[in-house]
Amino acid sequence: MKMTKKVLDGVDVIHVDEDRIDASVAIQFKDRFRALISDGRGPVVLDLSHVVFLDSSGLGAVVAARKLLGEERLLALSGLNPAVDKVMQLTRMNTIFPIHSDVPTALTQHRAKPAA
Amino acid sequence: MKFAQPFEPEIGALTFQISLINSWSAVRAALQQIRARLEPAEISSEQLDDLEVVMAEVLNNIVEHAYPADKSGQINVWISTRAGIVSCWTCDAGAAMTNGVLPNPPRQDCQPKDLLELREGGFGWSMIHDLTQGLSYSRQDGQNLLHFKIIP
Repeated sequence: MKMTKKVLDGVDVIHVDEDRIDASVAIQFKDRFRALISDGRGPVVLDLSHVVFLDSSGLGAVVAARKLLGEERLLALSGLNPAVDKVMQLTRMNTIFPIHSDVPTALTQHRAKPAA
Repeated sequence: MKFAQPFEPEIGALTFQISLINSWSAVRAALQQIRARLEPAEISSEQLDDLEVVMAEVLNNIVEHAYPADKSGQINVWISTRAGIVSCWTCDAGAAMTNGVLPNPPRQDCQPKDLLELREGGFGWSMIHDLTQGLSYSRQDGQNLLHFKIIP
């Protein structure tokens, strides 16, 4: 499962470099996500702009990823392709995850606020 | 294992059949094959996306629940499309649906306060019900037959 992490403005941005998150890779997705977030403490943006298909197992893995972060860390999604967006809406997961059109937009919302 | 074609092909319809075994990689390959075979049919990308979501859930359910993980099983898919309507049939020789009916689990009520109690599964059947028309299931001669349509 190809996933990479960059820290931008204090936000862990995880890019999924696969075109599908489905039943055949759901477990690998969860394991890789867990490894990538383990040393961070801030919000996380999961960039799905490369993902054209997500099935219910893939969605389950994204929900599991959300739970791994716990209440105190935010998980936002960015770059949803139409089929992925449809699944989010049908399952009402769009009410659970903040969803942004791309990573820069997500960062303007979730980056660490400068000290006053 | 022989599966009988469960319908009479309509004149002028684009009709094809795909056979696969009960594995995740076979499901993935079948979904890509279905997309490619439907290319000449001029079906909207939204309808193709809906079909792919439904077909993925149907086939995943067969792999996960109908056949035991350690035994190989066959799955047959027929698709027939005409005038923008995509009719689909799937057949397998695995276990029957519990109580002989299709599951229709209640929709999850999502409230952020329930974050850590969110379900990680059970989305599949609700999406199948939401995206299809004329969904029906029958069990005959030890085989499961599912039929549905994806309309524009």
